[in-house]
Amino acid sequence: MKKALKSFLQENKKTVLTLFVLGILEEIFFRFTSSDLLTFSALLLYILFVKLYKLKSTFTFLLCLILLLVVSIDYVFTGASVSTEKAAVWFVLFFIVGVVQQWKE
Amino acid sequence: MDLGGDSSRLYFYDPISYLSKATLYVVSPSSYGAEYLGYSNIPFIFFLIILRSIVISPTILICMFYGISLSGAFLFTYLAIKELLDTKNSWWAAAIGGLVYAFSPGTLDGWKHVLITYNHIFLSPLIFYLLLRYFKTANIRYILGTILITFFFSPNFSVAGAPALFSFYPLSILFLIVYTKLILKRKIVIKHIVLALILFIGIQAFHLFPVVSSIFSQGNDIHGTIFTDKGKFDRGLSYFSAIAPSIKTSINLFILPQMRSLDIFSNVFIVFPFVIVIGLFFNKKKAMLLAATFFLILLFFATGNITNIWLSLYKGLFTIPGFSMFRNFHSQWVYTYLFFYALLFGQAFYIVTNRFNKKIYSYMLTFFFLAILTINAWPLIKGDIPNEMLWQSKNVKASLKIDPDYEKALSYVRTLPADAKVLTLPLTDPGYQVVGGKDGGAYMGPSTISYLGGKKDFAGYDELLGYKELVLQLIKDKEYEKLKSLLGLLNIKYIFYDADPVIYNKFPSFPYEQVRTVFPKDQKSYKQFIQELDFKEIKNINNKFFVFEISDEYFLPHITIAEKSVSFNNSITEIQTPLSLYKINKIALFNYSGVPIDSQIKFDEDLIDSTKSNSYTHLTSSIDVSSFGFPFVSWDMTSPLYPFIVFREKKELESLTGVDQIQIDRTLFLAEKRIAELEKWGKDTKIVGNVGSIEDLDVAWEEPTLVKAMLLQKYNYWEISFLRFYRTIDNVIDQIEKENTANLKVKGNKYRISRALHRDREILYRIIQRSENVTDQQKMYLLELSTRMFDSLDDRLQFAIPPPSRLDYNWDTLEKGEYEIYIDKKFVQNYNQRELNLEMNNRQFSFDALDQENDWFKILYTKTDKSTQNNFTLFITQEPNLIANTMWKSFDKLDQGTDFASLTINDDLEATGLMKEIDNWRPKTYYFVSFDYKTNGKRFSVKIFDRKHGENSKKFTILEDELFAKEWKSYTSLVLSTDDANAGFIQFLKSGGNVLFNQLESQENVTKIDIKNFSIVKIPTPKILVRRVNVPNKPRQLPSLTFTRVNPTKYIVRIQNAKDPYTLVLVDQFNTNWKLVDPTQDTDTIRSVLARIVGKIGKAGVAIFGMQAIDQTKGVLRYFDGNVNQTVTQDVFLDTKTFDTWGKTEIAQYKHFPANGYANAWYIEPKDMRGKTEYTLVIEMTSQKMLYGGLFLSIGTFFVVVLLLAKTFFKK
Repeated sequence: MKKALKSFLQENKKTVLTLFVLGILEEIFFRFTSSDLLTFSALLLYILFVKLYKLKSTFTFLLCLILLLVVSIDYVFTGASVSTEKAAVWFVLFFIVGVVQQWKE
Repeated sequence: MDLGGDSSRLYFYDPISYLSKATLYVVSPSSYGAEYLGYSNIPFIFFLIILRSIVISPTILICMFYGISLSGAFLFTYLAIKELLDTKNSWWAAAIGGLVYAFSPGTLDGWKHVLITYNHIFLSPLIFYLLLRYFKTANIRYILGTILITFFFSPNFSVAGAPALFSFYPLSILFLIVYTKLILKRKIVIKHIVLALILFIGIQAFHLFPVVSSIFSQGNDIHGTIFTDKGKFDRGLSYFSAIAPSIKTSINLFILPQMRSLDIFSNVFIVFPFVIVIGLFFNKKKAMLLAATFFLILLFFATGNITNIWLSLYKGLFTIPGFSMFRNFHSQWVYTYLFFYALLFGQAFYIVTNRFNKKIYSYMLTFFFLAILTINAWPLIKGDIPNEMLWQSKNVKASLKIDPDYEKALSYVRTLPADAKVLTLPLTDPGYQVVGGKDGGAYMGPSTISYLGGKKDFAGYDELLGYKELVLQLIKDKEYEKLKSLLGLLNIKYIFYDADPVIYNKFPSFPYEQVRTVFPKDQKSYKQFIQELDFKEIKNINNKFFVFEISDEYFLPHITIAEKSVSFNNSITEIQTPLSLYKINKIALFNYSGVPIDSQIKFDEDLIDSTKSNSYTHLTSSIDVSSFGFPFVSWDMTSPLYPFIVFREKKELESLTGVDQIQIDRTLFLAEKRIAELEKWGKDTKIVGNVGSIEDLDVAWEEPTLVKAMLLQKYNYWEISFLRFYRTIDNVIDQIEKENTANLKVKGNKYRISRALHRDREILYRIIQRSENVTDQQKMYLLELSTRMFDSLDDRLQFAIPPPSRLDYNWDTLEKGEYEIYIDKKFVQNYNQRELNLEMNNRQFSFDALDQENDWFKILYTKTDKSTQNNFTLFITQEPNLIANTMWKSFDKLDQGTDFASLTINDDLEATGLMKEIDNWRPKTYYFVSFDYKTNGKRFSVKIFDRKHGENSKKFTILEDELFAKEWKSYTSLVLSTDDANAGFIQFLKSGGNVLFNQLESQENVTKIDIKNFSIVKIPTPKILVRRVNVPNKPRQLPSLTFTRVNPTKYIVRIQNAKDPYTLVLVDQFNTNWKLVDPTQDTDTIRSVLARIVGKIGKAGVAIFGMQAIDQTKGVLRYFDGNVNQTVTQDVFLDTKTFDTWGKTEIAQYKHFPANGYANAWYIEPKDMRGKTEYTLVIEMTSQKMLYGGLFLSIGTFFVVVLLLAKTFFKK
């Protein structure tokens, strides 16, 4: 079962990661409250993906760039709104992951 | 030049005066002369004196200093980035990094330099660079240079600079250590670090030693801030929690200023973090990764609001003693954050620009960032910052050229002979002084009279502390004789009046907002006001600056002997009571304020103000404002830590077993936390939805275990919050009811809870109606549930307040002895004989037959035995009904008679209600309200509000109660009018005003309220004093004294003819470090022997430098027919006599007490001076001795560092 799940995830790497990013964007724009449980669960999931897909820090920083783009666009149009702040927090958390990965590398 | 601001920049204008008047001593140069930490500025001011002697003009000095600091900030950030990059051709990236630090929107405000400690903005990069060089080269020269710099900028390493110090240096040094070990892979020379630490402590000893001593002295302000819960949580965590939601992560990422409205250009700064992320994307260097790590740590500290977990952890840090210095956390961390941001940005920029194939792209990108930063900093570059207008002024510039007339005035003030205080007019609110410039502009900051003139002055109303309201009241009532007597009591001899219209008329609000409600509105009427005060003019400079003098008959010299020492049971705000009884102000009044004093101190008299200790005050005091206010909550009910908060509160509630007002207030405060939680987190709180009543839930619900509460979030329900509120209130009512219910005190306690419940009911209704994520149906359910809960609690608190027709005074606790009872004549004059009766121990008294003394009726009373029951009662048969003669006003259908009113609400009308003006409304007065009513099953409310006469005056609601009765019901209430009100109104109106609320009511009846037997009467508060004279009848001879001021921390007092005990008063802020020393007597302790040895060494050392003590007497001032004399001299900081008291005996150590609310008093008996009648005493502030010792050590260390530094060059 575990192996099957692993191989399924590995076969669908692009889809899984795309869904993951979309999930974060959904959380930023369509949820009005923020939950640490959700945030850190997602982060933990991402760390598992890092292990599973052997993702490099460059990938995480790429993700950071996407999130930063979201923060910036949202900031220009809505100021420091709830969604801007949520995106900024996601950016910071992924930035930490990226820095830790680069230390390891 | 702009010299103002919170700590001013007067040291640029006249550093010599600033050093001698405001820096060299541990006593504040202004107001009451509290203990003061300004001496940490000594080396910095000395440094400015040297610079000033070179550049001469203060304007050039300011320009030079600010220029150096701005370019220093850029230069040393640039150099630090260059060192970290450690590659050729990196200068442009380092330069952009340097500019990010110096010119980012987040730092621009800092360049206003409003505080002396803002030097850290350039000092931090400078020291970071020097330490980086040290860690790279292990050359001790860098460390020694750093230590010398810290000496000149010692304010940045003092208590005042602590937040910036602790936010920058620990992390920066950690960064450098990790950088050295991990990246440079070099050894750290421990002996260098130890030497640096010792030299640093040595060089900063002059301010570190007194501060460390203060930190560990209980009762000291710094100790309180660091170690007490009040300092850590009330001042620290509460402030942090209040501002944390306003600090935004995105704004910090874009290095923009927080809590500001930003212009469209600020959007350009979104490009900065992109450079950092792209830089890291291509990064291969550990140095940059290290910078990124520290950048992240600082981002968390400077933002706070990144995930709830971090916020909770951050809040947890406030349990660490001293962490409350970071309560304004963003301002404290932002500069360190920006510095590391700049370090990271510079390195990232280097990587990004090196990725381009063509140089032209690098140049373009560099130019782009250069342009952004330059455009943003353009106002700073072209000098707009000093040209800003003073806050809330009518276009008065902050930069000015000092008026030569003002310089003359200041010189004159310096020569004023009496060692006395100055009142500076126009008085401001916060203690600022406004001084007009020669060609426009004005100075607004701490008083120049104090900081440059050397005279302690009161420039602001707030500086008058406990006397501030009284001063305003006396001016409002035009009681000018009493005002002069009060000013004299505060040691104010001189009045400095600045008649410049600019400094008053062009500042319509700040800094005169509060005082202008009483003081004249403009300079024209100010002049008239000063004429009315009838002071003696002693100096007029071009009809612009005036100095007046208060007559000696009112003036209390700086050191004096009290004619009467009195123990008074009331606060200093009531000092007018003893002053009107004694008609002298040469008194030492002790007010017990929680600090016990030694039983050896014998007061001439005990004076008990019984005004507020009659039977009825149990009721009136129940409407006083709570000591705790409405709670602020920091932990939401879903937090894993919340059950621990519940546990802590439960323990606190269990400890509140008494039923005094403070304990009831605390219980109410803890109960109201439930309402505050619903207000803040109601939208995320669940609803059970099927609770019939809170009483039912009370039976069914049990407190969950800790684990259950954490895992299942058992507290996160609206109904549970209601229940926890209900239980707390229900419990406190139980406790109150255990007491004798006939007692007015019990009724007062019940009434206090009842008032709080009325307020809470309104708040909770509002919260429910406005709550997000709650449907209308759920809101109806919650409203119904809460209404029933409050009604049930209200039923338990029902009682009728008795009318104020009888005032019983209880003096059972008095010791046996002879007493005099005084009754205020003004009160008695308001009544005729029929209306007012006095009964003492069952004997009737007629006021006509009573003795009279000044403004008082007097009755003698002897208490033969302590257990004797006393009764003293005033009967007031008839107080006028204040609404008897006014007519109702209504928009609705009204039927009124002489003693009833009936109001029928027409729901179609927008304006609604029934209103009546109350006759003869007075400020700060209690009133008793009573009527019968019937609301026919609908909810109405009664409101009383008051205001000052006038169209635009602000309205204050002082009572708001809900009325609900199907049958006739009695209503009674008490209200207290606001401070300035002279017009009061009562209004009945339909409550709720909300569709949801209306649906809860019976729809059958018309909306109608009937009212009858309506009355509002003033509650009498006669001033009654009980006086006991303790001294024997034989007249006492008070000694005479002559005092000499050596400097603000030391006075020599020559006492003559001291045959009886007496009370010596020093009119400076009370501080246990003020000591009375007998200079002729040695103390036989090891510490004193050592002190004498050090003193002798000091004396010899000072003599070497030719600082011999010389007599500088310039005359003698005589007061009270020569009983008090002052020798006029100049201040002496250091001479051979400075050390004369070291190791000498302190006298009356335990008989030192606070007098008149602020001054120092010593009760001295002949035995304290071994029966001598003529002797010399020295009054000195002992912290100054620590400063001398510390300065000696610091200067010594300074020379050691200079020698060591020279040696490093010599070796080379």
